[in-house]
This record gives sequence, structure tokens and C-alpha cells, in this order.
Amino acid sequence: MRKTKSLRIPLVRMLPIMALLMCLSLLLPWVYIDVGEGALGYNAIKLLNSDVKLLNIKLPTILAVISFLLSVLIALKPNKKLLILQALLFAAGTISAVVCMLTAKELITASGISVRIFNISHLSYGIWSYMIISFVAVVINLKAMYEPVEYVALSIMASVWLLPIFWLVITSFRQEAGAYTPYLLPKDYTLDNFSRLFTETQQFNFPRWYMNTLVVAIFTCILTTSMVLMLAYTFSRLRFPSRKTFMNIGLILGMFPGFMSMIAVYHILKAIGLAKSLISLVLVYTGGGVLNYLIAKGFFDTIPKSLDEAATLDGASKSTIFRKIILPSSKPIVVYTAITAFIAPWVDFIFVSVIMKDDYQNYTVALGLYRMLEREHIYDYFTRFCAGAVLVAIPITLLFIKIQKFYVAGVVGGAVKG
Amino acid sequence: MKKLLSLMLVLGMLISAGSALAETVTLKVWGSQDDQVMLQEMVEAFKAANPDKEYDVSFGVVGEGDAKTKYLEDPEEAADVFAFANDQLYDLLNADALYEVTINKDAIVEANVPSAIEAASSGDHLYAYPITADNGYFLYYDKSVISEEQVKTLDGILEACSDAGKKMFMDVSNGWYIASFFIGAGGELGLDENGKQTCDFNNEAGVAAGEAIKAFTAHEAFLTGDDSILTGGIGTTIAAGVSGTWNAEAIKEKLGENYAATKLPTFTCAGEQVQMASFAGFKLMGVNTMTEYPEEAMALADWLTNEENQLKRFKMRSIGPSNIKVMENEEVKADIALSALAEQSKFAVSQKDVLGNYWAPAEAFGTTMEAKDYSKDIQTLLDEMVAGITN
Amino acid sequence: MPKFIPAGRDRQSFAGIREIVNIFKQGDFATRSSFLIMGFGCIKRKQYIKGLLYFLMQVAFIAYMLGFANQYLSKISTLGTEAMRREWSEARQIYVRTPGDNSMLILLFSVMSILLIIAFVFIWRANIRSCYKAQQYEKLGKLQPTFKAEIKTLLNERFHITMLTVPSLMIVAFTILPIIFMILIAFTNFDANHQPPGKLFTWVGFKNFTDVFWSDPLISNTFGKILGWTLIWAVFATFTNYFFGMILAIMINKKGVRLKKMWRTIFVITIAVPQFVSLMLMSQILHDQGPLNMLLQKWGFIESNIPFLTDITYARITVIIVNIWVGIPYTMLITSGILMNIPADLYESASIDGASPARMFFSITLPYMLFVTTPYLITSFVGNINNFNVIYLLTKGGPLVTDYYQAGKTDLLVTWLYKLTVDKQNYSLASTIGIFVFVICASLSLVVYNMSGSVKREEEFQ
Repeated sequence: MRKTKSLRIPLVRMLPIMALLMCLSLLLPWVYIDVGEGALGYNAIKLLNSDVKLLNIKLPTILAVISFLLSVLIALKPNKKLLILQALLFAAGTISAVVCMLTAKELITASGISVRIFNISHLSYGIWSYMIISFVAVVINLKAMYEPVEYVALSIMASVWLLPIFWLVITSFRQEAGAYTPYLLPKDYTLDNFSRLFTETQQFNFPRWYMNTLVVAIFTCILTTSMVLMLAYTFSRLRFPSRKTFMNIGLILGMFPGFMSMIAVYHILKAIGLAKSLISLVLVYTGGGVLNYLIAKGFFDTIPKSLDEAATLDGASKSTIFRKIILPSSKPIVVYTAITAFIAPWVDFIFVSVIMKDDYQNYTVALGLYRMLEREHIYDYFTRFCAGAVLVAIPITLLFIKIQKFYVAGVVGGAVKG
Repeated sequence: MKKLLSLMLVLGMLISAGSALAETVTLKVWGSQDDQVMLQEMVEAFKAANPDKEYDVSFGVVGEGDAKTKYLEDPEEAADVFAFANDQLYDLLNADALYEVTINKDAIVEANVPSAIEAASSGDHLYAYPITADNGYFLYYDKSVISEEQVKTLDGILEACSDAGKKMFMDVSNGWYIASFFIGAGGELGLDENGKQTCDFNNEAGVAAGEAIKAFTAHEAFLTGDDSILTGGIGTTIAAGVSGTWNAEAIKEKLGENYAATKLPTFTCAGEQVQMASFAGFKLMGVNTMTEYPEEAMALADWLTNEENQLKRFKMRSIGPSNIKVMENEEVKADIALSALAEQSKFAVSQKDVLGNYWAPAEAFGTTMEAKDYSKDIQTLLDEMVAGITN
Repeated sequence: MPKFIPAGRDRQSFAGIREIVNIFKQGDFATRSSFLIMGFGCIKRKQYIKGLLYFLMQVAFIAYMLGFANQYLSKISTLGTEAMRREWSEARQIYVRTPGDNSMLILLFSVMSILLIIAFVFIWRANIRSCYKAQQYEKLGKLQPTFKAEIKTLLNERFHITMLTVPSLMIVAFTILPIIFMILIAFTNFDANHQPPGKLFTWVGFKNFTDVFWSDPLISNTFGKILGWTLIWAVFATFTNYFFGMILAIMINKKGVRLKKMWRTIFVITIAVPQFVSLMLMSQILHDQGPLNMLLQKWGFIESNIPFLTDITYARITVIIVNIWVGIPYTMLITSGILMNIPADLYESASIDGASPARMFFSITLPYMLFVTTPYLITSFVGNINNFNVIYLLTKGGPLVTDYYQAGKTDLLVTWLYKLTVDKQNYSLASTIGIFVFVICASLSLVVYNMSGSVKREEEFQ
């Protein structure tokens, strides 16, 4: 149901007032300079005129002025497209004020001029009012366009969430070594970190580990998925003695902290003769992964039993029902199980270190990356760690994005119903 | 009849000789990541020096600090010859992990410094081959910031640092380093007749040392962290730091001409100047009791720790030797870091009697001091610490 | 084919024993001899393949018991009497070592053998039943089912057996067996001073439990405090993630918000980066001399470093906040899915009645969500109790304090367990604590299971 009026005129008329207020806040003092006996407030005009750069004042000024002009134009002739531009301008204004505030300390200390501290970060009314007004302007602007205000919150949250990832990616291109650097952005960029991962393999054999992990992941995925489906179907559809007992046992088995059984598992594998091999990894991950059958079972429970009954009347055996009816309609949960099983070997570093011990060539990527952060190596290897992490994250991210829909449906269908 | 016997004897000898020739000796060697290349070279030389047997030597990457843990996880799978830090000796002996050194023992005892031999022995029995005697710590400093006079006392160093706007680095939240205060003040870590840990760090002298630690960590020029902080900031934000020979290269690079190292300073303890002590650590090479080829493994361990290879180790990795003759070498003497270590070793105590439960409580005390958490008084904290150590 | 239902098939083992006795009484010679020689009765009735299979299994079992299990089971009461021996050999000039008893392997393989014995009993019982069934068929004059027919039933009536065999084997081998082994360790004194093969360890009964709860003040103090923090952490971690995730989902879900998929994808990217990578990254960023502190100083917000991870209170808060960062994408996805299922007319009728958005949230959305996701909430609460990664990778459980036994102020029971196991080799104490953690989590989970049963009973929620 689309509203006929796509713009809220009263709010549109408020925008020029907001922009005007922004300009006025430029005239408020933004910073107080120590002058002889007292302190002199410097507002935007003075700051622009001063020889020494004390604040990054140019951008806020320009934005305020343009916003004012644009808002007047819009008030006279309301236009959706211009309103979007206006919203962006206001947002840019807020951001520029924030940037100004953040870079203030650096510039001021560099200039050598002593500054009286008023609020936090040595700054005064001007900049705070500018920030607040422009922020409110963004909100009003959005409301004027009948757009949800949530965009603001979402944008802020999205940036916060992505910041560490951004830092990870950018550090992987960093030239300088070291982990505890006092600055955020690298000084020099290079592709070396990536290439060195593949060329310097005597100590950290990244390519081999990547292949190891990939192979283990694929087999774990196949094995776990088949087993989980078998278990889930059995408990969902079949009725047999001690069914409830089995389910209860399966439920609580997952409660034990996994690594406690590490030693036992290692020795069992050794008795079979499989210790330190990739096969043992596959077995261990599968063994741990099958306990997630409850979610799949929950999903199967939602498939109507009437389909089963109809098929049985037609003479189908239980295994036929499984193959021809249940499996096709459970794509989401199959995908969910497969993806979860596939990801497990990439992220586990505890089990691998117990099973592989000192067999370097058979490590997985997770353990290798973890080792790079050990005390002796972290200085040299941190940037390469980031590069390796990026290389691991890319396939998983792509997978996730593609199957997002299935993942949600699978989890919701299964986990929620219990 | 005699002829037949002698023929059989000859045949028997031939067969056994032949089988000895055909037999391949498989050995596994553990060493730290950085030592791998060097170890491989040494083993090649060993094979060349012993052409009468076929050797198949594989390598594993297990640092000296992890050797005990990795060994105990599965002794059968552990290496036949592995390097470990000397504080793990008792734990390994408890698990009966090391072969006693009986072949060539006297020569080894003579060739290495007495403290190293003592660290590798229990009573009169020698259980490992000493590799290095340089696992101790001392003070690195920037000559241009701190004078030779100032560097003698802790207060002097801190003053010089604050004057220059720089920091002094010491990883106080680490049982290894914090012990220098307590032991310097006279504290003792030992074992009673049952092999349980005894610790008197909460007596009067210990409390005085604790107060000194509190003052030290509260000073504005104090900086803590781990080695990468030190190597990252030395020369720029850090003017002095307590560390060991493993960082010598990195620090030398950063300080260049201003590179200097000396023994640890004295600190103010209950009004008097007391020399900071330190732990003398050694790295040892042990032979696994579960090995299939004990004699060959021992021969290899002996080879890897002999005079020639200790010199090689110094040249390739700047590791201080435990072999007396190598220590007399000109180059070794000229090494600044090693001479500082030698100076400090007069005040160093052996780490042998320190059991596993010492580290966490000591670190806890250091962390509390670094966090400037004065909610409990020093005596209470020390009492709790000692309770944890001797548990 | 007539369905043959032996007496007491749906009951517990008591009935099973009654059944066996019954069969013995009613069985003829062939059936009775199957008690001793498996498969005999089947072979007699011309079910050759099946009979032969049973017989081979019996042979294999006996071979296993005599050849392998015997050496371990015989020592289970003492867990070994003689550790590694050493003898001086003049010729070789060394103390030659001969391996002795390895307590750990004795325990492990004994447990494995016991499990195999139990499994064998079940196979033996199946053998008896099958022979009896064959006897009954013969008596009734019916044709014996061929082997092919038996296989077919495995695909139909007894499909569950086919499906369950391989997964059960895996679960038993890799989960159940280690767990039993671990539980038993809690009753021994397997710690750093008793490491096989050099030393033996032996049974000490309940000593570890009394230590943890009463005798040893240091350990009980540590245990109590860590338990407290674990529960507080689990509550905060679960509920902050849940609510913030829900709010985020609601925001994205709101009618009119464009590019829903893009917003979701952005948050999903943070899941895609392996958790330990992002956590290690955060621990670098939040380090005392790390980029965040440096930035805050550069911008003039603070004068000296904030000890995000090294001060007790700061560390606890930081850990919860970082957990929010890590966990919200998951909860957002899940709550999104559910939100989309809430019938839209509920909201429309409410807004017609003049309800404000906040009111609608509290009266419609929240109750619905809570109802549907209660099982999930409790599962995630239990999961957070065991949330090893977040705590260990960020703070390693620190900062350490003097009045804890080898633990720090952000340690959970699981991370303490890990330290005891890996760093201190104090397996017996670690097992004791592990059992306790398990008891808590298991009881909570069983409660969930019952509750979700009640959820199922209520069909429509309106």
C-alpha cells in the first residue's frame, strides 16, 4: 500500500533551519587558545584565517554551507533524489565533525600552541553542537522521506562490526613486521605477505596445510552429513525399543568438554594404527559432528508424516521413503549440516595439536596459524598470519553468502523446535 | 669337529656383521623451529663421521619449553633425542623419561661448566647432555640514555628513563623474572625431603622485596609486556630492558652503536641496596628411555653437544655454550650479551629445584602489582602466593 | 510373513533375562547348544550363512579376549604393579630399559574391552533369539527365511539397525569410550607426579572429589569462585547476544528497509572469518600497547593505556563485549528466520488499535520469540558455559590471581580444565571438574528436552 504523498513536507521545510543551525554552530567557538592572561575562543572563521592548522575545519564548513543551499532548494521544490543527496551531505557533515574531533589532539600538539582544555579532547561548544545538529538533521531527513530511521543505526553497527575485519585485511598487506604497532593504518603496502606464505615453506608450510585442511574438510563434510541424516531420520521416523534412551544419551554426550577426551582418543587411534594421519582427523571430526543430529531430527519432524504413510500404502520400504521423499525436501538442513561439518576442520586447533603432535607436514591451517602467533614467531609472522587468515576466510565467506538462505531455514526449522 | 666349530663361528660372525651392516638405525630428533636447519647440518656431519651404520634421522619441531609436555603426551612417539629446558628435569625423571648418561660420562663432565653438569644431574647421576648455559637474563640498555653509573642501580635507571621520557621494560608478571627480587633479597625456593616445594618468599625479606616490586611497577617509567614489546620499542620508546640472549640480535640491530648490556642492577630493599638475582637456565639434550637404539641415540646426543657443535651453535645462532673450551674462544668472549650474562651468573641460582606449581602464583602476584591492585596488602598477597606455590 | 514378537521385546533387560531363560526352557537341543556355540541352531535349520556369521563372530571375540584384552583386564584392579624396569648391562654400559605396566593403557583398554564384552552379549542374545525363531518356524512348518529376505528386513522393518550401526560405532569409539575413561580417571591419582610409563597411578576413590569440595582450601576456593563467574558469564553472554541479536534482526526486518540481504551479509561476514582468527585479532587490538589503546591516546580520549584484558573488572567486561561482537550475527540470523514467521496481521491489528512500536514489541514480538526459542536459549546457555574459545583466546583466563589455584579471574571451568590438563598434566583433578561441569550441563539439557516436549503439545500460539 504505497502512500500517495512520498514526502513529508513539514519536515522538509525544517531542513533549511537545521542547516542554518549548522552554519551558526560554526560561529560558536570550537577551541580556546591561551592568549596572555585568559583564553580566546576561536570559531570557524578565525580558524580558517589562522596560519597554523589547529583543526580540520575546512570540510565541516564547506559541508554546512552546501547543505544550507541545498536544503533551501529542496524546501522550495521538494524532490526525492535531492533529499537523498541531502541526507548524505548531513551524514558527511557528522562524520567530518567526528574526524575533526579525533584529529584535533594531534594537530594541536604539533602546532605547539597551547590550548585550554574545555571538554574532553580540548574542544568546545562549537564542534559538539555541529555534530549533534547534523545528526538530528540526518534523522529528520530520513523521516521526511518516509524512510526508516533504522538506516542510521544499521550503518553505525555495520561499520563497527566490519572494522576488525577491515583491520585484518589491511594488515595482511602491511610491510612492517610486528604485532603491537602503535598505529592503525600501515605505512607501506606490499603483497609480500601473501607470496611469502607460499614460498617460504620450510618453517610454515602453508600450501600443504591448506590442502590438508581442504581434503579433511571435504571428507568430514561427506561423512558427517551422511551419518547425521541417517541418525536424524532414524530417530524422527522410526520407532524401536530404547529409542528414547538413545536420544537422551545423544543429547547429553555433547555436554562433555571435548578436549578432555583427547588423550583417550589419541591412544585409541594409535591402537588402530591411525595416529598422526589425516584419516584420524576426519574420524575425530566426524565423531564429534554427528552429535548435532538433533537439529536435523527437528527438521525432519516438520515434514508431514502423511507423505510417509501414503508411500507405505503404495508399497515403498523405509529405505525408499528415506531416499525418495525425505531427502529431497530437506535441502536446507542438508546444506546446514554440510556447511557446519565443512567449516569444523578449518577452525579447530586443539584436536589437531593433540593428534598430530610433532608431525609438521600434517598440520591443518588452523593449527599452523595458531603457531604463528606464539611468542617466538609473532614479531615476524603477524602480517603473514593476517594474510593466511584472509586466505582461509575467503572461501568460507563465499560459501556462507551463497547458502545464507538455507542456513537460516535449516537452523530455524531444526534448532527451534528442539 | 674343531674345523666344523670354527667354520660355524666364522659363519656366525659374518652373518652378524652382515646384519649389522644392513640394519638401519631410525632416530628422531626434536629441536626448536629456529634450530632446525642447524640440527640438520649437524646430523649430516654425524652421519659422515659414522659411516659404519645406516642412519635414518627425522626431525620434529618441538621447542625446548614444550619438550616435557609433548613427551608426556605419548612417550613412545616422542623423539629419541630431544632438547629441553633444565627446569623440566625433575618432571622428566619422575616419568622415567631419560636414560642415565653412562657412556663417556667423565669426558662430558670435564668438558662442560660445573653448573651445567649440576643442572643436568640428580645426585651423582648425570641424566642429560648440556647444550647451552645461556638461558638466563640480564639488562640491555641504551648507552646514549643511561650512563654507566646510573645503570648500576634500579633507581638510577628509572631516573634516567623518566628524564629522557622513555621506559624501562621488565616482564614482572612472569615468575621467571620476578624471582630476581625475591631471591636477591635472600628468599629460597627448594625441595624438602619428600620432594615437595618449599618457599619462603613471604618472610620479612620477602615482604621487603614485595614492597620494592610494588614501587617499581608503580613508577611512571615502568613498562611490562612480552619480548615483542621490548624488541619493538627498544631504541625508540624503551631505553632499558631485562631479557636474555635470544633477543640479542634484534636489540643489537635496533640500538646500533648505543647497544650495551650488563648485569642486573641493585634495588632498594628495606633501605639497602640489594643485587637483583636471576635464574640460571640451561638447555639440555636428553635420550628417551623408550628409544629402540639407546647407544646410537646417546652417541648422537653426545655429538650434538660436543665442543665442535657448541661452537657451531654459537656461530650460527649466537647461543652461549656450556663447553668450557668454547667459552674461552675469542669471539664468545667478545660477545657483549654473553659477557653480561657471565657477569650476572655470579648472582644466578639454578632453576632445578623449581617445580611446576611455582609459575602461576608468582605470575599472579606480578600481575596484581602491575595492575596496581592494592586491595590486599603485600603480606596477604605473598602468603597466598606461597600457599599456591607449595600446594 | 507372520510377525514374530518374542516376549518382552519392548521392555528393559530384566524382561530380557526372563526371555533368555524362557528360550532355554523351551528350546530344543539345537537351540540350547547355540548358547555355547553361536550359530549352531541356525546352521541346523539350514540358515547357513547367518549361522556361520555368528560363529565367526564368536571366534573373533575369543581371539581378541585371549590375545589382547587379557593382559589389560587382569590388571584393572591395581592398574599395574610394575613400572619400567632398568637393568645395568655391563656389555653395553647402559641401564637397559624394559617396558613395564602402563597404567593409562591398562585403564583405557580395559574399558574398551568391557564395552566390547557388552556388545558381544547383545550379539549373543541376538543369536539366541534368531535360533529360537528358526526353531519356531520349523515347528510351525513354515519356510525358513532366506538370507536375502533377512537383508530385506534390514532395509525395512529393521531399517533402524542398518542406519544406526555405523554412526553408533563412531559415537561409541570416539565419544562414549573416552568419556567413560575420563570419568574413571577422576577416581585415580593420575597427575604430574604419576605419569606413565615411568610411574604408575592407582585408584584413590573419592579423594579428588573431597579435595575439590572440602579438603583443600585453595582448590575449593578456586572452584567455587570460578563456578560463580562461569554462571554469571553464561547468563550475560547468552542474554546480551539474544536481545541485541533480536533487536538487530528487527531493525533489518522492518518494512521499508532496503537491501535486507546486504545488511545481513555484512554481519554474516564476521561469522565467516574463523572464530579463533577474529578472537586472536581482538586480543592483539585490545592489548595494552595495541592499536586501540594507541588510537585512543592519539585522539586524546585517554591519557594512559586502558588495561582491557589485564585488569580484573575491565577484562570481564571486555570479554562479554567481544562475545557480543562474535555472537550477534548468529542470533540475528536465527531470530530473523523466526521473525519472518510471525503473522503480519497481528501487527496490523495492533497498530490499528493504536499500539506504539514499543508496546507491540513487548506484547507481541517478545513473548512469541521467547516461547519459540526457549530450547535454543537454554542450549546456548549450556554452550556458553563451555565456551572455551572466547575466553582462552582473549585473556587465556587471566589475569591470574594469587588466591586461585592455577587460574585467573576470567577463567571458566572449561578453560581451567584445559590448563590443568595441558599445562599441568593434572588429569585427575581436571576429570573431577569435568564431571561436575558435565552434571550441570546435562541436567540443564534434560530439562530443556522435557520443556520442549511441552512446547510441542501446544499447537497454536495465539
